Amino acid sequence: MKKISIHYLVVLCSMTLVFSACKKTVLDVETTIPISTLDDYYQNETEAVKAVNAAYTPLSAIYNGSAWHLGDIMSDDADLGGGGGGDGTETAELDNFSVTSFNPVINLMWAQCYFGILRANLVVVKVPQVPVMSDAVRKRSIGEGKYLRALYYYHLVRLFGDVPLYTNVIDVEQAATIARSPKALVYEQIIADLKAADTLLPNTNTGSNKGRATAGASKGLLAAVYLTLGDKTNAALYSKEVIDNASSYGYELWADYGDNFKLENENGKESMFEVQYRSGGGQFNDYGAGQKLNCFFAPRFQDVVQSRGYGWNVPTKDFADSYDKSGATYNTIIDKRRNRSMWIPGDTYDTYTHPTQLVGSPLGLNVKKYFVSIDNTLGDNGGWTCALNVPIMRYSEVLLTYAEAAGISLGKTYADQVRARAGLTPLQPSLSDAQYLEAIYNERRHEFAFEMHRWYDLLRHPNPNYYIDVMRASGKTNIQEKHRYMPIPQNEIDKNANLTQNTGY
Amino acid sequence: MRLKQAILFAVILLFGAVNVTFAQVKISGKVKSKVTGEGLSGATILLKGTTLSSVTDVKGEFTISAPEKGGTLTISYAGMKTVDVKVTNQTKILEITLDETIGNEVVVVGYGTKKRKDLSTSVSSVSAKEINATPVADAAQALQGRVSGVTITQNSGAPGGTGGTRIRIRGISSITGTNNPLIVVDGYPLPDQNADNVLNSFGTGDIESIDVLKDAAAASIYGQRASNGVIMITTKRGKPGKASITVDIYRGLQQAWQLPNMLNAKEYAILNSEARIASGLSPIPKLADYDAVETQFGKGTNWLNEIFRRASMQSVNLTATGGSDKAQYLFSAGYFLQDGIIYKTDAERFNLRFNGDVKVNDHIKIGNSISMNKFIEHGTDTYSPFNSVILLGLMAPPTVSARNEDGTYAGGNGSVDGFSEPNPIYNLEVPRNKYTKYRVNGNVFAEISFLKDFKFKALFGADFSYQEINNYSPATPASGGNVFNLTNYSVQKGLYPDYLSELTLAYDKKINEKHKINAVVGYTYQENKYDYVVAGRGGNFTQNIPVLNDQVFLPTDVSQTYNAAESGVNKRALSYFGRVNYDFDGRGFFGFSIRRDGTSNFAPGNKYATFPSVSAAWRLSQEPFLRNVKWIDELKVRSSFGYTGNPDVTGNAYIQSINQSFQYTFGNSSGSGGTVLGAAPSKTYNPNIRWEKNEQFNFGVDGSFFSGKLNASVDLYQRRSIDLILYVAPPLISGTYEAVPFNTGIMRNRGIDLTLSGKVINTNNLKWNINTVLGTYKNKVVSMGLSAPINNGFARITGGSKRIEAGYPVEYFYGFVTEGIFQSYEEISNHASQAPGIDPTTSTAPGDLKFKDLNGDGIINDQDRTNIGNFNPTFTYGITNTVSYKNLEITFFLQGSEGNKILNFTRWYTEGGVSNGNYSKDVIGRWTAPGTSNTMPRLALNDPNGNNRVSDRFVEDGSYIRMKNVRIAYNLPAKWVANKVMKKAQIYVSAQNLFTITNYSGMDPEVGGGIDIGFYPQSRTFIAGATIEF
Repeated sequence: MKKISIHYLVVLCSMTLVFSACKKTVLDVETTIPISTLDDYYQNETEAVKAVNAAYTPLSAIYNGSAWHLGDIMSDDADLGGGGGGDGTETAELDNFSVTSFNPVINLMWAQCYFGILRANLVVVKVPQVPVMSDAVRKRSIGEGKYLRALYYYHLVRLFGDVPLYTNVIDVEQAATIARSPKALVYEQIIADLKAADTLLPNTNTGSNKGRATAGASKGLLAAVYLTLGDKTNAALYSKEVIDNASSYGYELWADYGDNFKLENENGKESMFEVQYRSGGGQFNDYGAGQKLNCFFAPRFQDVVQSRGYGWNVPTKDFADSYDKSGATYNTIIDKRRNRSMWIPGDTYDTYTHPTQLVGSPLGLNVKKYFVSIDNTLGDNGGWTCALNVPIMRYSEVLLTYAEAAGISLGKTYADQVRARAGLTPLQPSLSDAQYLEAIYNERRHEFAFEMHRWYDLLRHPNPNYYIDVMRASGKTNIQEKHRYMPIPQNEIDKNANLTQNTGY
Repeated sequence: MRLKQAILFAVILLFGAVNVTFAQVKISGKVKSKVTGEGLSGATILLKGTTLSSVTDVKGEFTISAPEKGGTLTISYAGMKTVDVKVTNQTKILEITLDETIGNEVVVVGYGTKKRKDLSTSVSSVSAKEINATPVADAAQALQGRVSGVTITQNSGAPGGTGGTRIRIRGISSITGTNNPLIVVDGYPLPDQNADNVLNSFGTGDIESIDVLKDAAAASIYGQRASNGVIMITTKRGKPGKASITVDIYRGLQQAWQLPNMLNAKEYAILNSEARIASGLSPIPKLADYDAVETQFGKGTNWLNEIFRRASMQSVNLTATGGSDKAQYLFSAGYFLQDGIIYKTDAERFNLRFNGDVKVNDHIKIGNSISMNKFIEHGTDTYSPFNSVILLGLMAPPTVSARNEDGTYAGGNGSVDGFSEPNPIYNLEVPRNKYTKYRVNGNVFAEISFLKDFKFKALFGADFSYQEINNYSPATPASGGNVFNLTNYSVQKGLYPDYLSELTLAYDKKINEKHKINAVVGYTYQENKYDYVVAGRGGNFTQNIPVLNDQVFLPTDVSQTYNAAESGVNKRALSYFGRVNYDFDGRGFFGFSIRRDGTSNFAPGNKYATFPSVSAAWRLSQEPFLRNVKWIDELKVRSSFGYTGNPDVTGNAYIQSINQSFQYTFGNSSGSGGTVLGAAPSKTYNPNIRWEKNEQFNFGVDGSFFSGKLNASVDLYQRRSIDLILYVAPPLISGTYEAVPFNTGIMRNRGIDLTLSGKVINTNNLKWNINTVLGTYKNKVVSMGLSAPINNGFARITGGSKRIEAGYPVEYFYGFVTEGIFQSYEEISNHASQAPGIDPTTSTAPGDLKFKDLNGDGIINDQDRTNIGNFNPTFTYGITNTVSYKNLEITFFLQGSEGNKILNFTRWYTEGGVSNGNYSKDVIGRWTAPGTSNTMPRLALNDPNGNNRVSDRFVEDGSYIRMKNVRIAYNLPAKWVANKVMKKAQIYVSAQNLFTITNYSGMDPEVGGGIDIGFYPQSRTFIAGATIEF
């Protein structure tokens, strides 16, 4: 009997051993869909280009969900329309300068910029080491990484002031301890990146690469950055370089201002850099492939666009009135850009006549710039996914940057080019420097109406209180000095003890 | 299995019992119950060592042929002590009296069984009789109100139980992982599959018993996945004796028991116009003249009558058992067909089972359990907050009809009706949704006894389930909103192969009659896979059949898509376990168990975890000081402490992966072209992620008093989930956004389970038994660790409606507190600012709800939200009454829940402010002028004040008491069935959900998770059936 029992036990033990011997491998399973990790990706050109593409992605969300709330609605150009009540409280907070550190629009900008920065950093760090890829694509890719990184930091530094600055890949612990760097250092990095990108990027892209960053885009942005910093010399230097080499970049003004905002003219001759959107998907969020401005800006519930139209971004009366006109009201505006930028009562499209008032728009004013009509199902097939690109920089901006930076004697002729296209007469040569600056500001306001520049123009004015004065004059008495910078998102401060809040929040 | 044994096995299966002949003598007798003195029908009489057996008839009488030399008869009857009687050739007539067992019933525990009186852990049991009393599609539904401490909520009344039945044992243990208990069918732990309807593919008629392992000491032997308790399902097996065939057949009628009252055409025209004018819009022209609306439409379309119907259900179950003492078998086949009370929905199930046991010799026993099921559901969307047909039916205006006069589909037309949601009748009739599931679950085992005290068991099993989802919506001409102009077809095919191998060695030893030791050690390995392929197409069909192939589809347009994807999950688990029980003199019981589990879910260093438990019990009734107390039959105190685990986390959380699904667009794309893919990390990683652990303390008392007239059992417990896995959102500066799991939270459940059963009347002819179970628990999130509070809930309102936060019950309702209605502008100006302004079409106006300024900052915003209730009941209960008089048996079963709150978002859709859809009748009592209402706000289509935000306006008391089941059964008198063919026959009628007492205003107070958006309501069902034994 004993023997039998030992026999059984031996069998049992050996069976257990057989199974346990393989336990090391048994619990390491293959995933059904292969997973790439940070360490084993970036092996060839395809993977490198995909890494670059990912760095562009945040642009879609920034221009869908944040840039216009900050650049236009917060400024004196537009107010929140919509359905009233709880509709768009986060935007109302910005419009009325009651913004808190919980604001989701601010949070979106912060988040998406850092997503772009990490991805651009990965491109700059990893692409030089990719074993198999062509030199041309490698060069271009690194240039795109640097350009995009600069663009994202430029958004952050203007909006928040000092921000955490990093150019490598950081882990979650570093992200939870990193502190803010002074603005000056951030601008230093932006300038260094743009100067480098200028040498790495091609002058033009063709075919399926249209829409990628170019040397012209980089140089134009560099000029804009210098203008923001008040460095007129360098702003003039780089904007002039773009103007002088316009033909090699392929830049030229469209004869008709409105041609800039047509689906068929995307990445056209005046375009320097724009957010690339496409229709399709039909999703209702900020993160889709398409643009939601068409639906959000169109007259509320008038069904001239897909998904009804929400009328969220409503031009102020002051802005509509500020266009050059022959009479007393905006019914007789002669500036050709008005009709392409905004709806006023009586405007028609097909069988639609724009009414004198709408829910959220008591004066019947609405934004028209990104309008793609409901019957163009190719350009917008529902949801919040319009195909129309949104300009980040147009050639006319470089002209106006130079016009402003170079002063009236050298610059006026470039401002007049922009004015001529709008059907306006040249500026008076007799303007004082202050009057000339005011004229350029006015020009930019109309040229870039609803292109999300206005708030930042108010901030960078030589008069440090300019934004306060303008906003007070437009009835926004809540504005204070602290609003030069927006609050750092509270959930970020909660996760990082070294992250300080801006004054006043 | 060796060939010889296999053949033997097959022969036994084919021919049933093997007949052996001896020289014989006839013995007849009667088996009686000691308690009632009545004859027991269906008792088994077996001549030991042979296959000779007999079963008593309705009077309890039997005859059996015994060999001349005599032998031993074994008389057994469920619930009674088994008796051996020696017979000689002198014996002619026997009278045998059986005594009821108390605490002697056998309870299934992990890797073994135990007598209830010897238990030191907390285990509740439900018998086949209770399970089959209610005609349910899913065995989990039969547990409702039967087991204390188990909260069962039927999520939906969808046919076939497809809407799922939530089983929560002793509260909620995990926030991000599963809260479903581990379900073990005949020793096979079923994969979780993240669904509430795991059991609905199994035939309920096959179940012999369900045992619920509640405390950690009972469950921790299943360490892995046992943190939510374990449900042990034991299916019926063959018994020695003559072959018997039982047929159970029933048929029933179901109907909705409560539907909301909606406005008729004229009322709707009046209220909708009022809502539009209040938001600065003109009335819809079609509705502007109220009397004309009445003339044209009469009362209008009653959409709910169009959607709901009376529906039938039927079930047939056939079971054949038999065998000798060497081999026993059970075959069963069942068919179940249930039409839903929503038009066009139905479910059907076909199930087969074969369980066999063979004693190969004195040492070796082999056996198997195998079930094969087919389940088909034709369903519809009754659960989504956007396109549920119930919501569409509630909202569709009465001035819109389902069909045009020519028979084509009508429906809301945006430009005429201001309402363009899909036509629910179209959605029910045209798209064809089919869900098919095939499942084979089975195991084979061999048990080898050796050295007298040892038993080795090897069990190998597999669970293959194949699931297919077909959605086909052919282009069908229709007017009205959102019709499908293109045909769409999608199909998903998924395979879930799951394997188990398990080896156990048990040791049973009795020393000096006083010391009993029982020990088991084991090893188990389980592999869990899930693979699916999904593909879909949209476009113009050339043929009207749902197929993906090009020959059928003729794509002509860019919006016609072709999509295909595949994915899946691979998981493995490897475990070792051991348990020792020591029984001292039938008085003291001690248990210790330990399990070491490994799972593929975690990083190499963290794969394994150990789950120990200890338990002890003392039978006080065996002590001298209680032994002479007459009224106490049995009194036992027990206590336990132990750990269980939950490894439910996204696989590969410990590596930093690249997300390759980013998209951007390049090129000249003025349409949908130009997509490029991007790749970047979207999450960081946590290399230290490991098991969620659950520690549980239990103290219980079991007692039986007054000669078994009163039985009571009470358990007090505390469960603490520690190392709770929470997904922590990274700082966005990291450039990533996906939350990463960390073991960082703590949650606690404390509660009491109580079971009371009594024999109120116990005479020969009349008996009345009451069985009551009651469970109560308090849940609290103790700590969220690194994680911020989590908001989730209702998809139609951003910002969430439920919140998980330290210091509160999990998923409490998070919203605003109302303080009545503003009656004047003066009140508005004295109140914190809500939607400031003077224009009532865009700002707060009299008639709007007043929200409480909780932080006192003068502004009503998201910071003014708070705890406005939660779905955890104060207690749940079930009361079963069984009254029998002679051949008649009446059972009524009450089930209820007390103190749970429901966030009734059905009203979000039907009380205005959302669309031009219809309104509930309650809206007639809305605010129209000062003093007219302080609860129902003014109507305004665009809801400028946000009256529809998440607030206590929608929180209702969800308490209910429900007559879950009434059943009247009649056993046909012996003389009617006393022919050679039938042994027994019973006919019965029953009613489910006969009445429900509740203050809840929605369609059904049983709402899993506490948020009601008008889910598929349970039906009231009337059944008539018969059980016949041949």
